[in-house]
Amino acid sequence: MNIIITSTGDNTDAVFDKRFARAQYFCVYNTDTRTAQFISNTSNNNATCIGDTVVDKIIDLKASKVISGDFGSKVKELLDKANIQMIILPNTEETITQIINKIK
Amino acid sequence: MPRQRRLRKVVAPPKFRGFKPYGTSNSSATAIELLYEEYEALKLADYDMMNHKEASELMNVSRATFARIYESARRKMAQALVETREIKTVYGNAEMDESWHLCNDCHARFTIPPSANSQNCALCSSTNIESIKK
Repeated sequence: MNIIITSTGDNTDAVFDKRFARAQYFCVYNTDTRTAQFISNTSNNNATCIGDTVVDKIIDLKASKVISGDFGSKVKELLDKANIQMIILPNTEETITQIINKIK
Repeated sequence: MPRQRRLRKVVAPPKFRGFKPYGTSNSSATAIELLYEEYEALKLADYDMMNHKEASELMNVSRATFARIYESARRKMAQALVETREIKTVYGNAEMDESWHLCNDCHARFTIPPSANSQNCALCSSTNIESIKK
C-alpha cells in the first residue's frame, strides 16, 4: 500500500510540508517494502487548478492514503471520489522519518 | 432548564488552529476562543457576501440566531485586535458537514472512505477515535 506524505525536501530527514498541492515534494512510502521514494512536485508553481493536477498524480501513484496539513474543499471532494483516505496532522514540525515511524 | 441548542451546520472547519499577534509585549494575555460556528458565520456573511437569511438557512438556524452568532464573532475579533490577544478556534456547538474523525492518541484528523477496511485511526491504528460530528 502506498502512502503519500507531503514533504519540504527530498529525503527522510526533511520536514513535513503542511501544504497539500503546493508541497515541494511528495514522499511515496510503500508499507509493504518499507521504502520511501521522493517525487518532486512539478506543478506547485502553477497559478490555478493545482489541486486537480496533484490529485490526478496521486491517483496515478495508486496511493490509498495521503498525509498532509490541510485539504481544500475541492481537493477533498476529488479524493473522496477516488476513495483515497486523507489524514491531517496536528503537529507540522515533524520530519518524514518521525511520521513514517508513527504509521502502523 | 434552558432549551437545548440546535447544532449549527459548518461546511468546513477553519483552516487554522489560531492566530497570534506579533510585535507586541502582551504575551501573557489569555487567548480568545472563536467557535467554529462564529468563524463560519463571519465567512458566510463577510467573505462569501451572503445575506443573513441565506446564511442562516445554510447553517440550519434561524435568521435571528445567525445574527447573534455573527455579532459574537465580530465582537470577539474586535476584542482580539484591540487587546492584542491570540485567537484560538474551538469546536463550539457545530455540526460538521464532512465526515472527519479525530484520533485521541495521535491527534490526527482523517476521513474513512467507504473502501477502507478498518475503522481505526488511519495513522496509528488506534481504536480510540471519535467522529468530529458532535
